Amino acid sequence: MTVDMVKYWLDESLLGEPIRWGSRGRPHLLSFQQLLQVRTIQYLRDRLEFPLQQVRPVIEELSGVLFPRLFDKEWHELRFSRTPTGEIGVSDGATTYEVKTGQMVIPEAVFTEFNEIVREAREDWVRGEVDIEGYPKLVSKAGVVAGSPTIKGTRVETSFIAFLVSKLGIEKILEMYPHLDKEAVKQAAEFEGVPVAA
Amino acid sequence: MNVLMDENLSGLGLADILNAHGEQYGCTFVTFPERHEGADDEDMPAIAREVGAAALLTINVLDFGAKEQYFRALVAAGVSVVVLRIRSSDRPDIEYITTILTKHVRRIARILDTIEQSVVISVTKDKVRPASLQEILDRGFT
Repeated sequence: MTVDMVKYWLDESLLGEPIRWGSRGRPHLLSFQQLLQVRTIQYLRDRLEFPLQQVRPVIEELSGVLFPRLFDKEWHELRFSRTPTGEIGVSDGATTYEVKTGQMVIPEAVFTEFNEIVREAREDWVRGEVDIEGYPKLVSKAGVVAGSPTIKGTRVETSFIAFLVSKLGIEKILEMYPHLDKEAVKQAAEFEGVPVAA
Repeated sequence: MNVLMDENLSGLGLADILNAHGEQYGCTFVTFPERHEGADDEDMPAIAREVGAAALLTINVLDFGAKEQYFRALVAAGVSVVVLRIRSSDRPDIEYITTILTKHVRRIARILDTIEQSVVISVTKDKVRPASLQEILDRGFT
Protein backbone atom coordinates (compact mmCIF):
# COMPACT_ATOMS: atom_id res chain seq x y z
CA MET A 1 0.00 0.00 0.00
CA THR A 2 1.43 3.32 -1.02
CA VAL A 3 0.46 6.90 -0.33
CA ASP A 4 -0.04 7.42 -4.06
CA MET A 5 -2.54 4.57 -4.19
CA VAL A 6 -4.54 6.03 -1.29
CA LYS A 7 -4.40 9.43 -3.00
CA TYR A 8 -5.66 7.81 -6.22
CA TRP A 9 -8.58 6.18 -4.40
CA LEU A 10 -9.38 9.51 -2.74
CA ASP A 11 -9.23 11.25 -6.11
CA GLU A 12 -11.51 8.57 -7.51
CA SER A 13 -13.95 9.29 -4.66
CA LEU A 14 -13.68 5.67 -3.65
CA LEU A 15 -13.14 6.56 0.00
CA GLY A 16 -15.32 9.61 0.17
CA GLU A 17 -14.09 12.94 1.47
CA PRO A 18 -11.13 12.69 3.91
CA ILE A 19 -11.25 14.49 7.22
CA ARG A 20 -8.47 16.66 5.88
CA TRP A 21 -6.74 16.71 2.52
CA GLY A 22 -2.97 16.46 2.77
CA SER A 23 -0.34 18.54 1.05
CA ARG A 24 3.38 18.40 0.65
CA GLY A 25 4.82 17.08 3.93
CA ARG A 26 1.39 16.82 5.41
CA PRO A 27 -0.47 13.47 5.13
CA HIS A 28 -4.15 13.02 4.33
CA LEU A 29 -6.18 12.57 7.48
CA LEU A 30 -8.62 9.66 7.20
CA SER A 31 -11.36 8.51 9.52
CA PHE A 32 -11.23 5.07 11.14
CA GLN A 33 -13.97 3.92 8.72
CA GLN A 34 -11.89 5.11 5.75
CA LEU A 35 -8.83 3.28 7.06
CA LEU A 36 -10.92 0.13 7.18
CA GLN A 37 -12.03 0.79 3.64
CA VAL A 38 -8.41 1.12 2.58
CA ARG A 39 -7.60 -2.19 4.24
CA THR A 40 -10.60 -3.77 2.58
CA ILE A 41 -9.70 -2.49 -0.88
CA GLN A 42 -6.16 -3.70 -0.41
CA TYR A 43 -7.34 -7.13 0.70
CA LEU A 44 -9.81 -7.45 -2.16
CA ARG A 45 -7.21 -6.43 -4.72
CA ASP A 46 -4.06 -8.11 -3.41
CA ARG A 47 -5.33 -11.23 -1.69
CA LEU A 48 -8.53 -12.01 -3.55
CA GLU A 49 -7.26 -10.51 -6.81
CA PHE A 50 -10.39 -8.59 -7.76
CA PRO A 51 -9.89 -5.74 -10.26
CA LEU A 52 -10.57 -2.23 -9.00
CA GLN A 53 -13.63 -1.90 -11.22
CA GLN A 54 -15.19 -4.79 -9.31
CA VAL A 55 -14.04 -3.46 -5.95
CA ARG A 56 -15.42 0.03 -6.45
CA PRO A 57 -19.15 -0.81 -6.37
CA VAL A 58 -18.58 -3.05 -3.38
CA ILE A 59 -17.03 -0.27 -1.34
CA GLU A 60 -19.75 2.10 -2.49
CA GLU A 61 -22.48 -0.37 -1.60
CA LEU A 62 -21.00 -1.14 1.79
CA SER A 63 -20.56 2.53 2.53
CA GLY A 64 -24.13 3.25 1.58
CA VAL A 65 -27.48 1.62 2.14
CA LEU A 66 -26.45 -2.01 1.90
CA PHE A 67 -24.30 -2.17 4.97
CA PRO A 68 -26.84 -1.15 7.64
CA ARG A 69 -29.49 -3.23 5.86
CA LEU A 70 -27.49 -6.44 6.07
CA PHE A 71 -25.43 -6.29 9.19
CA ASP A 72 -25.66 -5.40 12.83
CA LYS A 73 -21.89 -5.63 13.11
CA GLU A 74 -19.18 -3.10 12.53
CA TRP A 75 -17.22 -3.05 9.31
CA HIS A 76 -14.06 -4.33 10.98
CA GLU A 77 -15.94 -7.48 11.99
CA LEU A 78 -16.75 -8.40 8.39
CA ARG A 79 -14.89 -10.98 6.34
CA PHE A 80 -14.56 -10.86 2.57
CA SER A 81 -14.33 -13.75 0.18
CA ARG A 82 -14.80 -14.84 -3.42
CA THR A 83 -18.21 -16.44 -3.96
CA PRO A 84 -18.68 -19.59 -6.09
CA THR A 85 -19.90 -17.31 -8.90
CA GLY A 86 -16.73 -15.21 -8.77
CA GLU A 87 -18.27 -12.20 -7.06
CA ILE A 88 -17.22 -10.46 -3.87
CA GLY A 89 -18.86 -11.95 -0.83
CA VAL A 90 -19.04 -10.45 2.63
CA SER A 91 -19.75 -12.36 5.78
CA ASP A 92 -20.60 -11.34 9.30
CA GLY A 93 -19.59 -14.76 10.56
CA ALA A 94 -23.11 -16.15 10.33
CA THR A 95 -24.26 -15.34 6.82
CA THR A 96 -22.44 -14.56 3.60
CA TYR A 97 -23.90 -12.11 1.10
CA GLU A 98 -22.93 -11.33 -2.44
CA VAL A 99 -22.30 -7.61 -2.21
CA LYS A 100 -23.31 -6.90 -5.80
CA THR A 101 -26.83 -8.29 -5.40
CA GLY A 102 -27.28 -8.41 -1.64
CA GLN A 103 -28.32 -12.05 -2.00
CA MET A 104 -27.30 -14.68 0.45
CA VAL A 105 -24.53 -17.02 -0.68
CA ILE A 106 -25.12 -20.69 -0.04
CA PRO A 107 -21.99 -22.23 1.52
CA GLU A 108 -20.06 -24.67 -0.63
CA ALA A 109 -20.88 -27.58 1.70
CA VAL A 110 -24.60 -26.93 1.40
CA PHE A 111 -24.23 -26.68 -2.38
CA THR A 112 -22.67 -30.12 -2.47
CA GLU A 113 -25.42 -31.60 -0.33
CA PHE A 114 -28.09 -29.85 -2.39
CA ASN A 115 -26.60 -31.10 -5.64
CA GLU A 116 -26.59 -34.62 -4.24
CA ILE A 117 -30.29 -34.35 -3.35
CA VAL A 118 -31.10 -33.02 -6.81
CA ARG A 119 -29.10 -35.81 -8.45
CA GLU A 120 -30.93 -38.47 -6.44
CA ALA A 121 -34.30 -36.89 -7.23
CA ARG A 122 -33.43 -36.85 -10.93
CA GLU A 123 -32.43 -40.52 -10.84
CA ASP A 124 -35.64 -41.40 -8.97
CA TRP A 125 -37.61 -39.54 -11.60
CA VAL A 126 -35.91 -41.40 -14.44
CA ARG A 127 -36.47 -44.74 -12.72
CA GLY A 128 -40.05 -43.80 -11.85
CA GLU A 129 -39.29 -45.21 -8.42
CA VAL A 130 -38.69 -43.52 -5.08
CA ASP A 131 -37.13 -45.37 -2.19
CA ILE A 132 -38.66 -44.37 1.11
CA GLU A 133 -35.94 -43.28 3.50
CA GLY A 134 -35.85 -45.36 6.65
CA TYR A 135 -38.16 -47.99 5.15
CA PRO A 136 -36.06 -50.18 2.85
CA LYS A 137 -38.90 -52.69 2.31
CA LEU A 138 -41.22 -50.02 0.91
CA VAL A 139 -41.27 -48.13 -2.35
CA SER A 140 -43.30 -45.65 -4.33
CA LYS A 141 -43.26 -46.59 -8.02
CA ALA A 142 -44.98 -44.30 -10.47
CA GLY A 143 -46.24 -47.30 -12.45
CA VAL A 144 -47.56 -49.36 -9.54
CA VAL A 145 -50.90 -48.39 -8.00
CA ALA A 146 -50.32 -44.89 -9.33
CA GLY A 147 -47.31 -44.33 -7.09
CA SER A 148 -49.00 -45.22 -3.81
CA PRO A 149 -46.47 -46.48 -1.27
CA THR A 150 -46.36 -50.27 -1.55
CA ILE A 151 -44.37 -53.16 -0.19
CA LYS A 152 -41.49 -53.77 -2.59
CA GLY A 153 -42.18 -56.39 -5.26
CA THR A 154 -45.93 -56.31 -4.67
CA ARG A 155 -49.00 -54.19 -5.33
CA VAL A 156 -49.92 -54.34 -1.65
CA GLU A 157 -50.39 -50.80 -0.36
CA THR A 158 -48.93 -49.67 2.94
CA SER A 159 -52.14 -47.83 3.79
CA PHE A 160 -54.17 -51.03 3.49
CA ILE A 161 -51.70 -53.15 5.43
CA ALA A 162 -51.61 -50.54 8.20
CA PHE A 163 -55.39 -50.55 8.18
CA LEU A 164 -55.34 -54.32 8.79
CA VAL A 165 -52.47 -54.33 11.29
CA SER A 166 -54.29 -51.92 13.54
CA LYS A 167 -57.03 -54.50 13.99
CA LEU A 168 -55.41 -57.87 13.42
CA GLY A 169 -51.75 -57.56 14.36
CA ILE A 170 -48.77 -58.57 12.29
CA GLU A 171 -48.89 -62.34 12.75
CA LYS A 172 -52.40 -62.60 11.36
CA ILE A 173 -51.41 -60.48 8.36
CA LEU A 174 -48.52 -62.83 7.66
CA GLU A 175 -50.93 -65.78 7.67
CA MET A 176 -53.14 -64.05 5.14
CA TYR A 177 -50.30 -62.75 2.97
CA PRO A 178 -47.64 -65.47 3.17
CA HIS A 179 -45.59 -63.83 0.43
CA LEU A 180 -44.96 -60.78 2.64
CA ASP A 181 -42.20 -60.82 5.20
CA LYS A 182 -42.61 -59.65 8.76
CA GLU A 183 -40.25 -56.69 8.48
CA ALA A 184 -42.08 -55.38 5.42
CA VAL A 185 -45.43 -55.52 7.20
CA LYS A 186 -43.93 -53.85 10.26
CA GLN A 187 -42.44 -51.07 8.13
CA ALA A 188 -45.74 -50.54 6.30
CA ALA A 189 -47.56 -50.07 9.58
CA GLU A 190 -44.90 -47.79 11.02
CA PHE A 191 -44.75 -45.73 7.85
CA GLU A 192 -48.49 -45.11 8.08
CA GLY A 193 -48.19 -44.19 11.73
CA VAL A 194 -49.79 -47.32 13.14
CA PRO A 195 -48.00 -48.42 16.31
CA VAL A 196 -46.57 -51.93 16.19
CA ALA A 197 -46.04 -54.01 19.33
CA ALA A 198 -42.38 -54.88 19.91
CA MET B 1 -68.76 -62.59 -15.50
CA ASN B 2 -65.43 -62.57 -13.68
CA VAL B 3 -64.14 -59.87 -11.37
CA LEU B 4 -60.41 -59.74 -10.67
CA MET B 5 -59.54 -58.97 -7.05
CA ASP B 6 -56.47 -56.80 -6.65
CA GLU B 7 -53.43 -57.85 -4.65
CA ASN B 8 -54.60 -56.06 -1.51
CA LEU B 9 -57.91 -57.90 -1.34
CA SER B 10 -56.70 -61.26 -2.60
CA GLY B 11 -55.02 -62.05 0.71
CA LEU B 12 -58.12 -61.72 2.82
CA GLY B 13 -59.75 -65.02 1.92
CA LEU B 14 -62.73 -63.10 0.63
CA ALA B 15 -63.08 -64.85 -2.70
CA ASP B 16 -64.92 -67.91 -1.38
CA ILE B 17 -67.37 -65.81 0.61
CA LEU B 18 -68.01 -63.41 -2.25
CA ASN B 19 -68.41 -66.25 -4.71
CA ALA B 20 -70.95 -67.92 -2.43
CA HIS B 21 -73.01 -64.74 -2.72
CA GLY B 22 -72.14 -63.78 -6.28
CA GLU B 23 -72.73 -67.14 -7.91
CA GLN B 24 -76.50 -66.67 -8.06
CA TYR B 25 -75.92 -63.41 -9.96
CA GLY B 26 -73.45 -64.93 -12.38
CA CYS B 27 -70.52 -63.10 -10.77
CA THR B 28 -67.24 -64.87 -10.01
CA PHE B 29 -64.43 -63.25 -8.01
CA VAL B 30 -60.92 -64.30 -9.02
CA THR B 31 -57.90 -63.75 -6.79
CA PHE B 32 -54.88 -61.93 -8.18
CA PRO B 33 -52.54 -64.42 -9.90
CA GLU B 34 -49.37 -64.98 -7.86
CA ARG B 35 -47.21 -64.85 -10.97
CA HIS B 36 -48.28 -61.23 -11.47
CA GLU B 37 -47.57 -59.98 -7.96
CA GLY B 38 -46.02 -56.52 -8.15
CA ALA B 39 -47.17 -56.03 -11.76
CA ASP B 40 -47.18 -52.55 -13.27
CA ASP B 41 -50.43 -50.65 -13.66
CA GLU B 42 -50.12 -50.78 -17.44
CA ASP B 43 -50.17 -54.60 -17.31
CA MET B 44 -53.41 -54.74 -15.33
CA PRO B 45 -55.78 -54.74 -18.33
CA ALA B 46 -53.91 -57.70 -19.82
CA ILE B 47 -54.01 -59.53 -16.49
CA ALA B 48 -57.74 -58.90 -16.25
CA ARG B 49 -58.23 -60.27 -19.75
CA GLU B 50 -56.05 -63.27 -18.90
CA VAL B 51 -58.48 -64.33 -16.17
CA GLY B 52 -61.51 -63.33 -18.21
CA ALA B 53 -62.39 -60.44 -15.91
CA ALA B 54 -64.47 -57.48 -17.00
CA ALA B 55 -63.71 -55.57 -13.81
CA LEU B 56 -61.12 -55.09 -11.10
CA LEU B 57 -62.19 -55.11 -7.45
CA THR B 58 -60.02 -52.85 -5.36
CA ILE B 59 -60.09 -51.01 -2.07
CA ASN B 60 -59.15 -47.50 -1.21
CA VAL B 61 -58.13 -46.40 2.24
CA LEU B 62 -56.28 -43.19 1.44
CA ASP B 63 -55.56 -40.82 -1.45
CA PHE B 64 -58.33 -41.77 -3.80
CA GLY B 65 -57.57 -38.74 -5.94
CA ALA B 66 -54.02 -39.94 -6.53
CA LYS B 67 -55.36 -43.09 -8.19
CA GLU B 68 -57.75 -41.32 -10.49
CA GLN B 69 -55.42 -41.56 -13.49
CA TYR B 70 -54.84 -45.24 -12.83
CA PHE B 71 -58.58 -45.89 -12.69
CA ARG B 72 -59.14 -43.81 -15.80
CA ALA B 73 -56.53 -45.82 -17.66
CA LEU B 74 -58.19 -49.10 -16.67
CA VAL B 75 -61.61 -47.87 -17.76
CA ALA B 76 -60.17 -46.57 -21.03
CA ALA B 77 -58.66 -50.03 -21.57
CA GLY B 78 -62.08 -51.62 -21.16
CA VAL B 79 -61.78 -52.77 -17.55
CA SER B 80 -64.38 -51.53 -15.07
CA VAL B 81 -63.19 -50.68 -11.58
CA VAL B 82 -65.14 -51.59 -8.48
CA VAL B 83 -63.62 -49.60 -5.67
CA LEU B 84 -64.55 -50.17 -2.06
CA ARG B 85 -63.99 -46.90 -0.29
CA ILE B 86 -63.14 -47.04 3.38
CA ARG B 87 -63.75 -43.89 5.34
CA SER B 88 -61.78 -42.91 8.41
CA SER B 89 -64.90 -43.36 10.52
CA ASP B 90 -65.27 -46.98 9.36
CA ARG B 91 -64.14 -49.75 11.63
CA PRO B 92 -60.95 -51.38 10.36
CA ASP B 93 -62.25 -54.91 10.23
CA ILE B 94 -62.20 -57.66 7.60
CA GLU B 95 -65.66 -58.70 8.68
CA TYR B 96 -66.81 -55.17 7.97
CA ILE B 97 -65.28 -55.26 4.47
CA THR B 98 -66.86 -58.64 3.84
CA THR B 99 -70.24 -57.43 5.03
CA ILE B 100 -70.22 -54.40 2.75
CA LEU B 101 -69.18 -56.37 -0.30
CA THR B 102 -71.61 -59.23 0.25
CA LYS B 103 -74.38 -56.74 0.91
CA HIS B 104 -73.75 -55.01 -2.41
CA VAL B 105 -72.62 -57.90 -4.58
CA ARG B 106 -76.02 -58.21 -6.24
CA ARG B 107 -76.06 -54.54 -7.21
CA ILE B 108 -72.45 -54.68 -8.40
CA ALA B 109 -73.21 -57.73 -10.53
CA ARG B 110 -76.27 -56.06 -11.99
CA ILE B 111 -74.37 -52.92 -12.94
CA LEU B 112 -71.55 -54.89 -14.53
CA ASP B 113 -74.09 -56.99 -16.38
CA THR B 114 -75.97 -54.07 -17.87
CA ILE B 115 -73.32 -51.47 -18.68
CA GLU B 116 -72.39 -50.92 -22.30
CA GLN B 117 -69.03 -49.40 -21.58
CA SER B 118 -66.57 -49.63 -18.71
CA VAL B 119 -67.24 -47.64 -15.57
CA VAL B 120 -65.93 -46.96 -12.12
CA ILE B 121 -68.25 -48.26 -9.43
CA SER B 122 -67.86 -46.63 -6.05
CA VAL B 123 -68.88 -48.86 -3.16
CA THR B 124 -69.39 -47.44 0.31
CA LYS B 125 -71.19 -48.74 3.36
CA ASP B 126 -74.56 -47.52 2.15
CA LYS B 127 -74.24 -46.93 -1.55
CA VAL B 128 -73.11 -48.35 -4.87
CA ARG B 129 -72.65 -45.69 -7.51
CA PRO B 130 -71.44 -46.12 -11.09
CA ALA B 131 -69.75 -43.36 -13.06
CA SER B 132 -68.83 -43.35 -16.73
CA LEU B 133 -65.37 -42.44 -17.91
CA GLN B 134 -66.82 -39.29 -19.43
CA GLU B 135 -68.34 -38.38 -16.09
CA ILE B 136 -64.97 -38.82 -14.45
CA LEU B 137 -63.31 -36.70 -17.12
CA ASP B 138 -65.94 -33.99 -16.82
CA ARG B 139 -66.33 -33.75 -13.08
CA GLY B 140 -63.55 -35.72 -11.51
CA PHE B 141 -64.36 -38.53 -9.14
CA THR B 142 -64.41 -37.44 -5.57
